[in-house]
Amino acid sequence: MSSPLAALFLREWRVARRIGGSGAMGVVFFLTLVAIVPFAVGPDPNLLARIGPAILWIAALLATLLCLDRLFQADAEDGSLDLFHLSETPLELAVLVKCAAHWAATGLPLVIAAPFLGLMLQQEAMALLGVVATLLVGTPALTLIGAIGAAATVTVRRGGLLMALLVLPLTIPVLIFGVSAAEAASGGTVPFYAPFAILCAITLAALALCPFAAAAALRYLGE
Amino acid sequence: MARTWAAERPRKGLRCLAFPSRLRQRRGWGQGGALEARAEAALAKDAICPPRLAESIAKLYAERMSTDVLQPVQPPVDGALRLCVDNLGVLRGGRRVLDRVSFSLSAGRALIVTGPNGAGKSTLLRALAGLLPRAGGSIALEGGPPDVELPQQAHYLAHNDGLKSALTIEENLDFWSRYLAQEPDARSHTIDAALAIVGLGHVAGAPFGVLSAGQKRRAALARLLVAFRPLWLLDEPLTALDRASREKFALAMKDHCAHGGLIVAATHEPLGLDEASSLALGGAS
Repeated sequence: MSSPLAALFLREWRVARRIGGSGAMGVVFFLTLVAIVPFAVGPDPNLLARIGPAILWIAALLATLLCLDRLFQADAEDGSLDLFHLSETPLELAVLVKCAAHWAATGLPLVIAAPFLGLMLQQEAMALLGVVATLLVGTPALTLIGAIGAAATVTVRRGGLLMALLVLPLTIPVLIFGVSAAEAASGGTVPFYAPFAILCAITLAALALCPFAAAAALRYLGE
Repeated sequence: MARTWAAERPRKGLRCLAFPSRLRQRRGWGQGGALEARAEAALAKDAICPPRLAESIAKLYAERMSTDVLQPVQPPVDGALRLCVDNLGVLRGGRRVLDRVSFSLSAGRALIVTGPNGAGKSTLLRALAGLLPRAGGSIALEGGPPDVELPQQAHYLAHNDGLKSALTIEENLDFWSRYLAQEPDARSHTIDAALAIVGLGHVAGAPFGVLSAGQKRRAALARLLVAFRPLWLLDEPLTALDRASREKFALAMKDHCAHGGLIVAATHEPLGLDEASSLALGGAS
């Protein structure tokens, strides 16, 4: 990684750590969502074991969205975004690095917390492994797709809700293949690798396309 | 970091001694020439008393300025730059804010853009920085390296400082120096030297968010110094600055011009530059 991008990653990481909130807050929100589900659906262990992967995935999706709205807005407010346009580093790369730092600060803690929360949902070892593997592969796609929404709502005050409305439909494929791979890990009729490979493909496609879409939105709105 | 700084605050004079030696080694004191070496000596001597330190740095700077300005300046490495704006038009919200604006500015010169509120001063600067699309005309920086576009040779300073409240001033400047100056240039200042020039050496380790408005502005001005770019686009650069800081910044601007830089500044107040041309934009409609 060349020096300007390393510097950007370090800056984003430090800001995320110091402002606090984002990383820890996402995990606490994740924990809360998972903890209230048994109150809603009842404490039946068989039921929880069956719907556990889906609950973990939905909770991870919402926790990711919760943290995303400030991704570009903070930079727009303090003027950094204008300066990104003036750098030799392409805006697309800057977006990619910002997403990487954001994922490391907010997405990765969710992946690490997931097996512990899975224990609360009566998940077996193989199921836990499946959930962790799919979240590890799938949450970067959520962050990248969310970055498009964050870029499109960068000029909207309190754009968090609008961003969620824009982004949630786009995350449906990730959710479908993430949950089906996670469920397949603990046995079932579907083999694990088929949905998992598609999930990997979605993440790679998001990695290739989303930075361009988000940077285009930022350029257009910057004018 | 924030907490340790707050704890150290009562003996803030010692803060100067705590300039991170790591940074100094990595960025290399002295690469900018004699000024840094002398500034370092001054730092060692005057570290106990920040205000006096700032004065002595400013004096050093002034000495160097007077010799540099009086002697014929060596031609800049990349040839004489020339900013040519021809018949520039810019639309904002469907309204033609700028219409047929033309001027040219050669290296070492400053241009003061004046005009009533709404005359399009900020719009002109944003268009020069490439942040707004042109509705006609052309903008060119002639004489620079051919493969570098104009925005990448420009510093843009607007009402927002572009620095993060959660990071210390040093961290902020370190980021922008690495992000905006990808090829090292001898005309870039080290972070310590830039902070000394704007008089912020004693709060280098403080989070940006706790500074006063004037100090924030000075930190933003230090960003222009740590990464050399020939064209400075300044939108009301003197907001919230006291008189001493204005004088220091005027020196920094003169130094920039003496090294072949160009300055376009939109302002209502005199910048303290003697040989600046001016461009008056028409009244608001």
